[in-house]
Parts: sequence; structure tokens; C-alpha cells
Amino acid sequence: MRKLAEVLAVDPEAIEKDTTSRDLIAWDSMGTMNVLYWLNTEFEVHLNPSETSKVQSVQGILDLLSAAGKLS
Amino acid sequence: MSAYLRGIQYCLPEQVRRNEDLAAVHRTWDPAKFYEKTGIRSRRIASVDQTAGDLGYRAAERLLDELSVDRDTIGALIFCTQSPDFFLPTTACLLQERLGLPTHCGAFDYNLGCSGFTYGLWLSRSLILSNAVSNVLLIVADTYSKYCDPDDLTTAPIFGDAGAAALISAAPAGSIGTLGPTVVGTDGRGASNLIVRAGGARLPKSSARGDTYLYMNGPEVFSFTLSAVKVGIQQLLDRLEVGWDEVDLFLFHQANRFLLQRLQAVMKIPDEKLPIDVEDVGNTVSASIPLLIRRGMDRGLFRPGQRCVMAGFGVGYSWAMSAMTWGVAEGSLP
Repeated sequence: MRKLAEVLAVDPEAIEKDTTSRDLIAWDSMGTMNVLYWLNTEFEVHLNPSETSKVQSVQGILDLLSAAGKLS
Repeated sequence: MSAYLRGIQYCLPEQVRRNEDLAAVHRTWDPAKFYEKTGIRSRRIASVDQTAGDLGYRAAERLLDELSVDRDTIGALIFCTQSPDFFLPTTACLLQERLGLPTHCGAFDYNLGCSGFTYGLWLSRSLILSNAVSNVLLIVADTYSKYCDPDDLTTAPIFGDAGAAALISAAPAGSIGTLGPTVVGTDGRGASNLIVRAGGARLPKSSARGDTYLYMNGPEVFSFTLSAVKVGIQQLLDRLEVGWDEVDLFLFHQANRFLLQRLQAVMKIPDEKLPIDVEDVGNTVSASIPLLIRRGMDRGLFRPGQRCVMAGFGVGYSWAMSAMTWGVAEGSLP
């Protein structure tokens, strides 16, 4: 979650497990694109069309990483 | 036999729309921040009575005059646009007449956006290699500004209008590049992420303002490009049997600097191999790659023998990656 805060350029304390894009001004469409880029380059996570809603909440990102076997 | 790129020309509308012009209307929008992210400072905008056909016509006239081409030798005119002059007839027929091309010239439009130019190279080269014609006039032009809601700051500051023309020929004399193969791809699952919903047969009219303007889901389109562009280029390089390091220039569709720099990082492409040219034109859709090439030519970007990979990608989703060797004679091709 610290890395996600870095990607979104927000204070780490602003990110909780139940945080969604609606809670943070920085998590706008540009912020979402930065998250997509991070997931693509760091974890090789590739989404199908119309799946970006999955990266608009912390829980959604954790679920994606879990499904991809990237969470230890 | 090979297919050669004989020349490229372009036309930009006179009207300039700067970020500051938008900021004057949208007081909370920060033009400096937008420029910092996208690299776009201004766009050229077609006037009310200026069409994609007009921009394509002007670009083609410049090209044919520059190359002193005998117009009777043009066997096919292919026009790519998503903003045709009329529903019908096809704009290419109007351009055949305006450009004074012979009546034995085939002419048709195809409807693609940011993949349009490289798709056109695929079609043109195929027509040449199959011996169907000796010269293809490929014209690409769009006026997306007419589709953009002036209050939608995800599209209005991004898209600019432009037209471009290229001559593809069976004859090597005077060519600026030799065309290699093209790899194409499609994923219609992304259709709703970049769309003008109303105006066609599916939804002739709509009272919803959003339906009548261009809708773009930026994160979805970005996600698509992150995955599709690298895969498409890899397929092309596999076909050419060359490695990434052996490519001298990557000529990408000029969407915006943010997207291009992230694609560059994903593919580990050095700065000097990926030119970016969006600052004063924005995203000109199908015309962006020929603009990049011609404006690059004018500032000395190219050297004989450079291996170039062009990549068009976007609305559809649709993509096409084409190979070209700059300024070499027949026999030393990819």
C-alpha cells in the first residue's frame, strides 16, 4: 500500500484497505493510468477491455494481484 | 518486387487553439499541468466549413506537386477518415475529381482512426505487390475536433485536426523509404471505450449530450495500448527476424507524451529512437504518423538505411505495425 501511495503521489496514511478512487482526488483518470502502468511493469498484470474498474479500489488491486499469484 | 514510399506531405488548418484558450473558459483547469503531462500546448482546429476531405485534398495537392507526379499513373486512391464529408458518396470519389485523377483510378474510403495510416500502408503495399496497380495515393485526414464536446476536458485539449498524403509506388526511383510487412490486429471488445454513439444507423439521434460527442475512457484505452503495442511490434520483429536493438526508429502514433513515454519505458526504447511530436498539433488521429515522418524529415531525423517500425493503435480497438527502411535501393530490405 505504501507503493500504491507513491504511485498516486499521496500520503501513505491516505491509503487504507477500503480506500477507493472516489476517496482521493489524486486517484483520477491520470492516477488510474499510473496504477495500470505500475501493475503492468511491476507485476505483468494485463487487463481485458472494460476491466479497469478493478484497479479503482485497494481491495480490487489486492484481488488482482492475488489472482495473478503476485501476493506473498 | 517491393513497394516504395515516394513522399509524404500534410496540411494543418490555420486556426490554432491553445491550452490557455480552454483555461479561459474552464477556470479550474490548469493548462500548465496539462502540458506537463501530455506535452500538448496547442492544436490546429478545422473551421466550420473545412472538412477532412479539404485537409486531405490540400495535403495530396502539395505531395503531387512536390513529386511532379503524372496523375494519370495513380491507379488507386485510398482515403482513411472517421469524419467523412458525407455519409455517401465516399469521400475518395470526391477527391478523385478534385485532384484530377484519371477515371481508371480506383477510389474508396476506409473507416479507422489512429491505426489508419499503417493500415493504409498494409493495403497499399498489398496492391503494389499483387501487381494490381503501380501507384497508390494514400490520404488520411480527420477532424475529431468537430466530435469533441468543448466542455469535455478528456478529449477537447487532446485532439487536433490534420490531413496527410503519401504516395506508394512500385518504382524505386526517388523513393524515401522501402516498405516492409505490416502486422494488424483487432479487439472489438474495446469498441465502447472510444466512440461517438449517435449519428449512425444504430442510434440516429439522441437527446443525451454525451452520445453526440466523442467519448473516451482514458484508462481503458491506456490499458489496451500497454498490452497490445508491445505484442504487435514483437510479432512484426519476429516476422522480420530482427531484435528490438536492431530498430533505429520507432515511429508511434502520437497520442500524447504521457502515453508515449510509458510505452517507451515498457519496451525499454532509448529516447533518441522514439521521436515525440505533439506539442503544437496534439493527437491528430490517422494523420499523426505521417506528420511525425514529414516533420522529422524537415528537421533531419532520418538517415539512409535506418530500420523504422511504425505503430498505429487506438479506436476499435485496432492496431497495425509496419516496417520501413529509410532511403535504400531495392535488394537491401528488411
